[in-house]
This record gives sequence, C-alpha cells and structure tokens, in this order.
Amino acid sequence: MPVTVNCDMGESYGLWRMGDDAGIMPFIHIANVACGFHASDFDHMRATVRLAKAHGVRVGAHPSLPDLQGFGRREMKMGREEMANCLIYQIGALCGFLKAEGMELNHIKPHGSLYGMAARQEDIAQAVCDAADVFRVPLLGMTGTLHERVYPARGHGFVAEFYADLDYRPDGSLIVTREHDAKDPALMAARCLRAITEGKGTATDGSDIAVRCDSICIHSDTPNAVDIARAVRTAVQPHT
Amino acid sequence: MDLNSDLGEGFGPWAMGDDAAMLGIVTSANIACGGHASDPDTMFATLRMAAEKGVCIGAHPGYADRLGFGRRVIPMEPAEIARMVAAQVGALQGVAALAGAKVAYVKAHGALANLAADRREVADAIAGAVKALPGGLAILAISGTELEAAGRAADLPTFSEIFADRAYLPNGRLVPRSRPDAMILGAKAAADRLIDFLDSGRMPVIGGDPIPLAAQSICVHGDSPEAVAMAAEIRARLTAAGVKLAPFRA
Repeated sequence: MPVTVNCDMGESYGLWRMGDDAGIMPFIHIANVACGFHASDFDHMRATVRLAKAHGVRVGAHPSLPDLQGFGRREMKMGREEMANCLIYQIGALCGFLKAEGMELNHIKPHGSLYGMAARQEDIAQAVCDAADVFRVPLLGMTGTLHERVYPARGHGFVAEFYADLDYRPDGSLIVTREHDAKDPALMAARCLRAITEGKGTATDGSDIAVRCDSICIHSDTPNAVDIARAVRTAVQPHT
Repeated sequence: MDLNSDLGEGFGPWAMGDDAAMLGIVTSANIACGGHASDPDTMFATLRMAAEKGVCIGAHPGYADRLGFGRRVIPMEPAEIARMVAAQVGALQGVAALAGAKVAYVKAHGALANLAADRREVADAIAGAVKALPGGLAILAISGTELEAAGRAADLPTFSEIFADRAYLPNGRLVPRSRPDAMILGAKAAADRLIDFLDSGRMPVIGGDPIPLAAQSICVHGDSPEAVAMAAEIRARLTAAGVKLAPFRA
C-alpha cells in the first residue's frame, strides 16, 4: 500500500488564523479538515476544501469533541450514541462542502482528545465506527491501540499513522504536546523513512520501538512546519 | 494624551496581535470580555499583563459574535444591549478581581461602538449599564458621538478618542472598513496627521475641510506586526514632539 502524508488542515476560526495551510498543502496527499467543533467554520471549511482540490489533495473529516475554546483537547464525557451523533453531524457538514466541489470523502480522523479517547475507551471507539458506518471510508489511527483492534473488527479500513514530528515513549506510546518546537527537517525525514522501510522508530531513551506507518502525520503548528513537510515528502516520495 | 489599544482579543488556542508588545506602547488597554473575542483564560492573562505593566484597564464589550468578531450589528432592544454590556463588563471585573487588576473604564467594540455613535437609545443603554455597575467606571467614546453625549448626560466620567489609523468622514464618523480608503496607511502618515491634529485641534476628513474634534485618547491598533510597528512609531513621534503620554484615567 502506498504511504501517504497527512496533515490537519483548516483549523482557523473567524478572523483567527492557525497554521500555514497554503504552504503545507503542496506537500501532503490527504488533508484532515476540521469540521467546526474544535476549529473552523463554514467559510474556512469551504476555503480549505477548495485549497485541497486545487492541489489534488484528498480530503478526510477531522471531527472533534464540541469545544472550540479548548480546541478539542479536553476530554468530555459523552455516551456512545451522543458521540456518534456528534461525529455524523460534523462529517456530514464536511460532505456538503465536498459535494459542492465535486469531491468525495476520503477518510475520517478523529481529532485531539477524541482520538485519544477512542484509542483507550471501547465505547468511544465503537461510536467512531457507528459514525463511520454512515460514510464507509477508512479511519486513521494509532497502531497498538483500540483503533487497530476495533475499527477493522467493525469492517472499517484502518490506516496506521506515524507521527513525523512527535516523540515516542519506550513503550511505543506517543508524547502529545500542546505546543510544538521547531524540529530538524532532515531528522524528521530520516525517521519517516526508517518507519516505512524497517517498521521501527526511536524512543526518547534511544531504544528501538515497533511502529507501523501507512500514513505520516505532520503538524501545521510546528514553527517550521512547511520545511518539515517538504523534507518528509521528498524523502518518502519513492514509497508513495 | 492617552494611547489606547484593543487587546486580549485571542480566543482559546488562537492568538491575535502581540499584546505584550502593545502593552509596552500604550497607556490604556481595552480588554475584550468574551463577546466578540476572548475567554476567561485569555482575559486573566491579559489583565495580569496589563496590571504588571501599569497600563490602565478598560472593558471592551462587543456583540456576542465571535465568528463575526463583533463587526456586524445584531438587532437588539436597548434593554438587551444594556444587559449584554453589563454581563460582559461584569465578567471582566470578576476575572480582574482574580487577577488583582481593576477595570477603570468601558469602551464599546466594533459594530456596537459604531451604532452607539449614531443612535442615542443605544448610547443611553450602554451608559446606563456602565452607571449601574460598581467600581466608578468611566466611558471612553469615539469623539463627537452620541455615546460621548450619553456618558456626560448620565454624569459618568466621559473621555473621547480619535483613531490613529482610520480615516474620517465630514460628519466626524469613521470611514467604514468596507471602503478602500478606510485606513491610514503607514506610520509616518498617521503620526504626521496626529501631530497636525494636536497642534490645530482639527482632523482631516475625506470630502471636506478638517473638522474640530476633542480627544483625551488616541486609539492605535496592534493586530498585526505592521500595526505594532506603527503604534511604536506613533508613540516615538508623539514623544519627540513633546506630547506627554499618560492614562486619561489614573
């Protein structure tokens, strides 16, 4: 399966800007587009879909817990049906803009705390699948978590992500940071290549960890995100 | 003369402007109250920073429309406007109590300020809310507007401002942002205009002769790197011209 590069996109809101979407879009294959609950609004959703289309980038939904102020990074307790409804609402909204541009939904990638909750909580992973049942597209997630166990068990495609610009603990878990420091693009590119060719990553203590890399995630809010995106895309191009 | 700027207009993860830089330039800060921008955490951080820098603090209430940033009118009865202003200013006063800061005045934001400039019932509603709140609040109004008159009529300490980077119409109102000639571009042009105004008491307008305006404060913007540089240059030029800068309200 060819590897893709993905990035969260369209995370501005009203007059407030986030990330250099126009700078990064040329280097990614698939965009996870915010659906209005942790970021974005109808104008930014339309503009982001159009920007992706202009670059031949496929668009997936990036739904979240309903929390703009917390940017979807705070856990909220919700029941399975409530969570599924929350996701169907957001993905459906994005599908409207995709339809308007003659595009199809490519995938779903839950955002922020929802991503983490679905990795650990069975009912939330099931709720994500309940929503995916409606749209029938693959789900992006983390290897070694409930994503990998529940999504395929429910008949959904599972695309394992490798994070180019985040660190991993020796147990293989991801260290999610709220703010990202600038990273060395060459080092990030080398990490991605190793993940693809060897299935290995380097943990914070220097030890090797097993990773799976169907898609590489880069973050747009890293200070040198465009440089990282360019370096990663160039390095992994033969595998894409 | 006072220099004021709209600050604390971030929201959640989104920043707007360089508040730390602006607080080193201005003497008064109009701090967003969660209506058009901001949230309790942003309010707290901005209040703390302003208090530490000894900058006079004002509340900056606006239409509760973050998506539109308070720049479009939402039709409301005057009584509803009074409640909205009381709720937002009261919220900032509450967070200020936590932050060890004090709110000294109120300046309306965006479409609310523009509406209160022309509509006396809106201006009276704002003045009424400010009068009802504790803390001996003053009003900072756009010079020559109904809000300025309403503040005086309500016997509130009332001060007026002019804009460093906005063009004026012959009736003393601002040229709407939708027009290409709304903004004064370039720090030098803005500073020259202000120094002329301070000498003559007359403001150039588009389509007429300069008009007399009274002002105790000059509003500068800081929502872009260019705006911060412009504000800094205006401060430097005014200081060099012998203008003493201090808050209009201690």
